[in-house]
Amino acid sequence: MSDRTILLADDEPDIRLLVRTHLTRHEPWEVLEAEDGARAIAVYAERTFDLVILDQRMPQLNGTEVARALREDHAFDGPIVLFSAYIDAEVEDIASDLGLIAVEKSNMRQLREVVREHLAGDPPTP
Amino acid sequence: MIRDSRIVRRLVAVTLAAGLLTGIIGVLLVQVLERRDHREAVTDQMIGLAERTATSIDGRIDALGSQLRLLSSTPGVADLSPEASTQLAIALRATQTLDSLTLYDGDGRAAAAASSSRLLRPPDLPGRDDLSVGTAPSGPPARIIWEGVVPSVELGTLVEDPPGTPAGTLVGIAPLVVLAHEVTAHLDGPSVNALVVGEDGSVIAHRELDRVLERRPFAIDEVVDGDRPATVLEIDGERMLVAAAPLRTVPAWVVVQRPEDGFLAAADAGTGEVTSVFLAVVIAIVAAVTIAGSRMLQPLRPLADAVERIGGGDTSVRTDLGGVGEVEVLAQGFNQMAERLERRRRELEHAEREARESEERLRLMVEGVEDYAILLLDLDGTILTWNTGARRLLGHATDEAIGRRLTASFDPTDPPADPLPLAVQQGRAEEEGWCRRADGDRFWAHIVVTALQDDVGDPYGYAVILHDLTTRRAAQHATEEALRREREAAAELRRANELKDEFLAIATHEIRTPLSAILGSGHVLWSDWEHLGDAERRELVEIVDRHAQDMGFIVDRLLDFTRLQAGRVRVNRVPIALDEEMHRHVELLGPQLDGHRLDVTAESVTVGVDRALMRHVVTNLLSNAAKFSPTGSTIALAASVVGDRLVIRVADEGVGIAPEEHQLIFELFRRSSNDAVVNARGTGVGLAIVKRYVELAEGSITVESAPGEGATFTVDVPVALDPDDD
Repeated sequence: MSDRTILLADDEPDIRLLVRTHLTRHEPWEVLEAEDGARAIAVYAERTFDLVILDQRMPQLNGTEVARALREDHAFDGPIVLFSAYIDAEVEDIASDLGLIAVEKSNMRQLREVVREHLAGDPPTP
Repeated sequence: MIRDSRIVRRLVAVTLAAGLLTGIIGVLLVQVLERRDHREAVTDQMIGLAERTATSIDGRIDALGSQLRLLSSTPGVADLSPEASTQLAIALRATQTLDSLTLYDGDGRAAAAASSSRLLRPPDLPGRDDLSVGTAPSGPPARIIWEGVVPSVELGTLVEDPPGTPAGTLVGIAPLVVLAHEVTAHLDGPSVNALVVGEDGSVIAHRELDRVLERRPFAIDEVVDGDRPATVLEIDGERMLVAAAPLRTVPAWVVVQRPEDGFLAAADAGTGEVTSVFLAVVIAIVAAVTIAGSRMLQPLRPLADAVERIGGGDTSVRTDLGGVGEVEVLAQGFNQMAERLERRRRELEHAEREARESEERLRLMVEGVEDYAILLLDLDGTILTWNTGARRLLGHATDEAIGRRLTASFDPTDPPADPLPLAVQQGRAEEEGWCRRADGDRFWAHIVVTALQDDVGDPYGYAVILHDLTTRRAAQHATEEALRREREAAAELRRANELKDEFLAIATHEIRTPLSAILGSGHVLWSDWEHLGDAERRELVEIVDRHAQDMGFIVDRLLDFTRLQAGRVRVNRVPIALDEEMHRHVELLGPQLDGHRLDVTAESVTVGVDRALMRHVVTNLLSNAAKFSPTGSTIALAASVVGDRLVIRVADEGVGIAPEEHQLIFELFRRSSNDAVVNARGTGVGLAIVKRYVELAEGSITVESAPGEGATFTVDVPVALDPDDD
């Protein structure tokens, strides 16, 4: 049924609910969830993902640490969204170093547009 | 003058000794020389005597020879005629010297003969082969012959006929009495003795013996065996000086001899005079030296007196410039020296007076100093001097202080280091510390010690200056204290400012999190409304509600904190029933405590306590316990009154807190570094608020915990036990 798979890691269940609801209501995307950084990496190893959304502030491993692990240890070169409550210069610097797309948590609309932009175009048409 | 006569005596004694010694040595030397010279002269005399005697004897024998030659040429003799015997007898009588005459022919047979004492018949006479013509062409030599013990001289001459042709020999014999006579004739002095000695060492003639009646040997070899024909021989137990001279005409020696004692005594007689002369000279020298010494020392007497006086300390003394030469120079030198000595003495007196005055001035000055204790110590640190300042500062009277040790004035409970050892090493040392007055009061002293050294660098004591710095020290401490407080205040301010920045940053973030959820929910509700089911819509609205409440809670806490921080909170005690209050707060927290078992024990008592304080303490500690302990675990809340204090204790079974973090957790936005709880819901404000509130109410909050063993927070605040009075 779904043609695109998204990994969503956030320790806040309410945020995971919001993101899942918002992204899956209109598109045929599948969202798999992880509640912290370590679990995110474990889940990633089980499946192939087209896009990863990482909360910056998580227990165990934070968003950028997970992103670095995916890029360097798991050779993931797909789009990674760094989802943060507040984006300051520091977060932006880290994001640009690792080729991440930084999106503020309060901006659900931007998140959906970013995901759509990266997953649109070349999906195998169902 | 005792001294100069002593000098003269000494001079005389030395001169006398030297003179006598010289005299004795001289006399001995003269004696030796005299003896040697005398012996030489006598020896020469003796040799001369012997030579003269020999010449004289030779002359007699020569004369005899001439007579024989004359006789040989007379007719009758020359032709060996029978009348020749007559001729010979005539000639014999004429000579009175010859004892016999014999004429031998060419064959050595006696042809004629004549004798003064006996009748000679030529045919009876033995032939003389040695006289045959041809064997002795030049005539027979004179020789000495012995007839028994009587020595004679035999003389021979050739008889020529015709002249130039030897025909025979005429031989004459003369007894040696003649010779002895000759010897005697040439000697003078009774002690001199003479003799003639033949070649074989036999005595031929002797002066004392008219005839030599026996052959006596004489050691002629010993006499002639040397540079000079003279020597000393031991003859008949007497030392004799012996000299010899050879005879030309016959092989014999003339010997003269005299006893050695005789002429040596003569020589010694000469030396006696020399000794007397020497003694006279020595006495004269001694006398001259005595007089000259006394006279030479005479001008030195005043000088000696002056030296004696100057030695006694009288530097004003001068001596007369009498005398000549060196004495005058000496007197001048003495006067100059005395002059300089006196000048030097005056200078010294002057310098000494000045030094005394200077010392006295210094002493008065030191004594007059009131604000500084100035003292001198000996090498052991014992006090030698004590000025007014020392009396004032240390309180001891001078006679009480002298002999004490400086360190005795150091405060015994907290004494300064003893500065003397350092002063010994470095020459000077400074020290500060507590000292004690005689009345027991302490004062803070500044001590300067200088090690004192004498001219050659040996230490002999210390100069100590002591000053009371108590007031200055207090002022300095006050200044330092003020500065320290100011620094602390500045640091506090800086910390507060940093805290404020941090506070703002964290607060923004903390508020942002629920805000994001609210905004996200709003957007989803709005944009996906048609696609959402009722359940979903409800869920999203609940999210909005929940996070809005969270945000409200956070904002309230932040407001509480800022109010506390700004000191705008006042403790307002109102009567509160303890058990009701506890249960009310548990109910108000409601959902936050879902999932935990709650165990509340509270006394049913009413106390006067600040209501806000109660709310902060109970709600914060409970929500904190809920956040950091797993679902299903028990949280215990206990409240009791102990004395006039309210004790509230909240215990959980959560992750616990490491001991080193027990203080940190009460700071703003600090949470345990434990990874498991980093992102647990919470603001990091709660415990900070509780602590400040409790402290405001003059209470305390403590925590007991270890990692994995839960945590127990205990709050202890004073309360009014009779709240109605409040």
